[in-house]
Amino acid sequence: MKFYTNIFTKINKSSRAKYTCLFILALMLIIMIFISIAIGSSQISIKSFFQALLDKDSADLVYKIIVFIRIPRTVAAVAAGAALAVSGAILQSVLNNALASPNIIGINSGSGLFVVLLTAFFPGLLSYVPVAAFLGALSAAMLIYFIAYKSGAARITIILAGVAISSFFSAAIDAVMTMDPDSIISASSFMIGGFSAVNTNILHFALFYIAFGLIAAFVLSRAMNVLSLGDDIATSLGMRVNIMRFVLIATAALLAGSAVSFAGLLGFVGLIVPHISRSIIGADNRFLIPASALIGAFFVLLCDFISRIAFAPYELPVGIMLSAIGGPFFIYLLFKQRRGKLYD
Amino acid sequence: MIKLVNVSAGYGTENILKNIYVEFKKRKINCIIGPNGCGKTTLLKTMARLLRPADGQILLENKNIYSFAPREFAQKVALMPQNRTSANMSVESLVMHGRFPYCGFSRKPSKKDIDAVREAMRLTDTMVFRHKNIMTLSGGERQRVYIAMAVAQDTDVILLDEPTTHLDVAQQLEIIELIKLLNEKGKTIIMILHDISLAMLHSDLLCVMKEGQILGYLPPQQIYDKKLIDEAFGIICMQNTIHSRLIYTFDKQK
Repeated sequence: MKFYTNIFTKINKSSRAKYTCLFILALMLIIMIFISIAIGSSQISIKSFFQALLDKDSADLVYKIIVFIRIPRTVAAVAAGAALAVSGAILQSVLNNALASPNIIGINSGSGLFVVLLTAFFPGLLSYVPVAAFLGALSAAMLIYFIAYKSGAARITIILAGVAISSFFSAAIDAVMTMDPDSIISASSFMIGGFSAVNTNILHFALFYIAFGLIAAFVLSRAMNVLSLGDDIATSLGMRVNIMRFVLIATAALLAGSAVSFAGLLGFVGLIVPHISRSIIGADNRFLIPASALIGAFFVLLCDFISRIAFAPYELPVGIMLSAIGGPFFIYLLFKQRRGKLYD
Repeated sequence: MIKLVNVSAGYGTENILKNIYVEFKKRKINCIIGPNGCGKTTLLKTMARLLRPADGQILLENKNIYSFAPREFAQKVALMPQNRTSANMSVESLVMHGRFPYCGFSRKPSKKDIDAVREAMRLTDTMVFRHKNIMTLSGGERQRVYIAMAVAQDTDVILLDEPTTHLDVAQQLEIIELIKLLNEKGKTIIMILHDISLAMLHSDLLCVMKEGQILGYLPPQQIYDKKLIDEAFGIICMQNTIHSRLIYTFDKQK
């Protein structure tokens, strides 16, 4: 009898471990946020840092640097990292494909194209950048979904279709930028992605969308678990599969599009962070989504910090740092885990 | 229990099921057999609401199955499909998913949900590996876990699409035993079986299909007497008795 009464305590125990894990990740992120705000290319001692924050003297240079440069930059890195990572986690789960991520399947470049078009042709409508970014991301996502659906939704088709769409949109971005070199968004920093010149107006709008997207992703995480059992089972469990998948892809597009609107085409985060998170906390989306958000935010913030510090006062675009650190780390993960066991 | 009235269904413009009329009986083990491509899975899918019929009606206790809300229907009919992605989770969490149709928006499992999961795992004898990942299980164990999920769904009807394929003989018999046990507990079973002998020996009623139509829905002995197996598969099916047990052998038609 004891055998049976105990069966659900083990679940609680293992989810307690997962909660602990999330707590530690959150703690790491908070520490990283403090480091990112306190340390930068202009030397500010810890004493003057706290002094400035306490005084709130808006004429003080230290205060200005912190409030107008470092805090927005930190917020941008955290938001973009969390958004892209969760977007990738959703796409990998919904498209049931380990290679899915907003940059590989063309969501980022779709979003980028709309942003570039808007800033090139309607420079006055800057506050609509996040909307354009979302619409671009959504249309790319829907295009891929449509192609995959029409062709029988083979796993590899989705990725191949995405790669094709991605390169098509990238070419279009190049074309617009070549014809309109004076567009507000400077080509190189937008294409590589970074936080050195974040437009705070755009950031404000984008933060709303990202917050909404993250909450939606978390609320839908159990539905994602059901969806991951396959369409037939999900349907027979009473889920409206097509609607749910549409909502989830739209959420992923909202997140990726919002991030692109102020951070540019940051690659890679959306692909590797969900994998890292899965190797730490498992495939259960209820934990995977928050873990991806935390790790994504931490990872991007760390890379941004290093890119600011490494060659100060010069700085590398964070996109370069992300790929330089993320790439080898990802390959290490692939080697460490046995073949086909990446998801365990 | 489930009644199909002049149902035609298929993918695209071509109908695979052609004007089918059959009523599957309550609390029986109903088996569907027929050669490959005859529309067995299509029939199961239309009953499970995975495929909308192009024509005709499907009634569950005299109500059109599309008159139920998705969750309401999921509380009445469970499906164990053949096509599914390899789930990466513990046995326990998979079986817990069977309670999805009952969970409210908070999705917190209630005492009742936990009891149902526990009972399902006890019936299917999956308690022993409840913490193992599905991917590490053998074919037979995995099949039992998916059946456990369908049992946890607590429905009157369970539809199974070839529950014994890819299993060795011992595992096949184990699954059949389990299905009989579920039937004794009052479940209506409708399943597709590939193995004609298994179907003849272990079902109450057999539905024999050929080219999208039903040749007969009768008890096994009558199916045999009318030579419907011969007609459906284009073979000769012979019934023998050895040590007072029925066995079936098959031969090519001359």
